[in-house]
Amino acid sequence: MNAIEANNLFKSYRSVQALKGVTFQVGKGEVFGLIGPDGAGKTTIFRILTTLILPDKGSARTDGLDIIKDYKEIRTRVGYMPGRFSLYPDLSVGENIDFFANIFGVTLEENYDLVAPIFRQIEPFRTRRAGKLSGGMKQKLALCCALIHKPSVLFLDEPTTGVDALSRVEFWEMLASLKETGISILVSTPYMDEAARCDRIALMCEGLILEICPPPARLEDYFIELMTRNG
Amino acid sequence: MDNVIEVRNLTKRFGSFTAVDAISFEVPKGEIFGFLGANGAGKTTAIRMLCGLSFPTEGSGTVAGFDIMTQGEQIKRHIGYMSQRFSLYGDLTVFENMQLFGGIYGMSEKQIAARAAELLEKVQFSGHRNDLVGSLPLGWKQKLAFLVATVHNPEIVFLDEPTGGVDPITRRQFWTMIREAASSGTTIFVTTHYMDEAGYCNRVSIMMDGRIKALDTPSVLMKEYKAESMNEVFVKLCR
Repeated sequence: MNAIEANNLFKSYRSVQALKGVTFQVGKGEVFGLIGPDGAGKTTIFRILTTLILPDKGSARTDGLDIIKDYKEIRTRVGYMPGRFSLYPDLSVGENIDFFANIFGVTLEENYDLVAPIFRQIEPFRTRRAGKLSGGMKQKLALCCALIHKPSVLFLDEPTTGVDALSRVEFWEMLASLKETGISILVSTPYMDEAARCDRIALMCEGLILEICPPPARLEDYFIELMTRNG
Repeated sequence: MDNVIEVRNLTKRFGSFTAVDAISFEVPKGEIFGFLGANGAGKTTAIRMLCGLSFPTEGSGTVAGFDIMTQGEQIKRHIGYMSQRFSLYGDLTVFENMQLFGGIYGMSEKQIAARAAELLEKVQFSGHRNDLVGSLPLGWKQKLAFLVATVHNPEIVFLDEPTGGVDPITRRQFWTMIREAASSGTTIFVTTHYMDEAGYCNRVSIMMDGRIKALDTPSVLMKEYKAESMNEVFVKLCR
C-alpha cells in the first residue's frame, strides 16, 4: 500500500488553474519532494491530501484512505506543517505542544521517542512565547507539534523557506532520522539543493508535474532544460 | 573616494541586547556584496542603519557619501531598496508603478518617462508598459521590482532576499540583470539564503551574533574553510 496516491487531480480558484491533472504516488517510508517555484501548485496538493480542500476532479488516497469518504480518519493519521507559521504566538512553547497533544488525545510522554531529537532542542525555551522564537526554532516547534500524535504520513509545506542555511541543514538531518522510524514524508521546497535529500522528486511548474525522478545531479540545470523543453 | 559604503564599529543596542556589535567594512563602487548570516544574526538591524531607517548606538560611516549619523534623509534619496515581501502595486500598470516610485524620489514626469523607456527597453518589456502588474507572471514582477528600485538611478541598491520562491530560469535571469547593473556602476548589496547565489557575489560577509565572522571573495573563503561550496563554508562557520 502506498502512503499517498494522487490520481489526475484538478483544482481551480476562480480563474486560476492551480492543478491541471496531477498524478503521483509516494511509497511507504519514502521521502518525496515537490520541487517548484511559487504558483506551481505545491500547497494545493498538500491541502487536498490533508483533506482541507476538495479537488474539482480526480481522486486521492492518503495512508490508504479516501480523501473524501474517510476524511475524518485521515486527519488523525497525518501530520501537517503548513508553509506559514501557524502555531499560537501567544502561547509558550510548552503550551503549544500540550495544546496539540490534547487535540489528538495523546501526551508528549507517550510518543517521546519520536519527537525527542527535536524536542530537546526547543526544551530550553519551553516557557518562551512561540511568537518570540527565531525562525529556525519556530520551525522546530512546528515540526514537533506536527509529530506529536505519531502520524503515519508527514506533510511539510516549504518547511525551510526563509530559514538560514545552517538551520536548513539541521532540519534535513532531523528528517533523515525521522525516515528511519518508517514515517512517509511529502515535503516541498523551492531550494534546489535540498531536493538531493529526497528519495524521489516531482518537478512542478504551473500546476503540472513535468517529471518524477530520483534527484539528478545538477538539478537546477536539469530543471531549466525541462522547463525550456515544455515551453 | 570610491567606496559607496564605509562603516567603522557600527553598533546597535536595544536595551541590554547588542544586535549589531561593532562591525566594520567597506563596499567599493560597482561591487556585488553579499551580506549573509544566520536568522537573528543582526542583518536586518544592520541594513536598517545603512538605509537611514535607524541610527546606530555607536560607530560611524557613510553610505553614498552621506553620514549615517546625521544624513539619513539624504541617504534614503540616493539608495534603492527591494525586498521579496514589499514590491509593486498589483492594481497599477507597469508604467504607473514607475511613475509612483519616481515621483516619490522627486523625479519630473519627463525624467520618469525617459528613464522608464530606457529600463523597459533594456529588458525588452516595452510592449507591456500598460499591463497591470497583478496580471504578470511572478518572474516578471520580480524583475520589474528591481527596475523600479533603480528608477531614480541610485548609487547603490539593497536587495533583501530578492529571489525567494521564483523558478530557476527567473533566478538566473535576475542575476544576469544584477551583474549588468553592477558592471554599469551600480553597487549591489544583497542578502540571500541561497548559498549558490552567494557564489555569484564579488565578496561576501557572514554575520553571526551581531559580528562579521568572515569577509572575503567566495573562492578565498572556500579555500580557507576547506569547503567545496559556500553552503559548506556557512555551515562550518556557524555551527
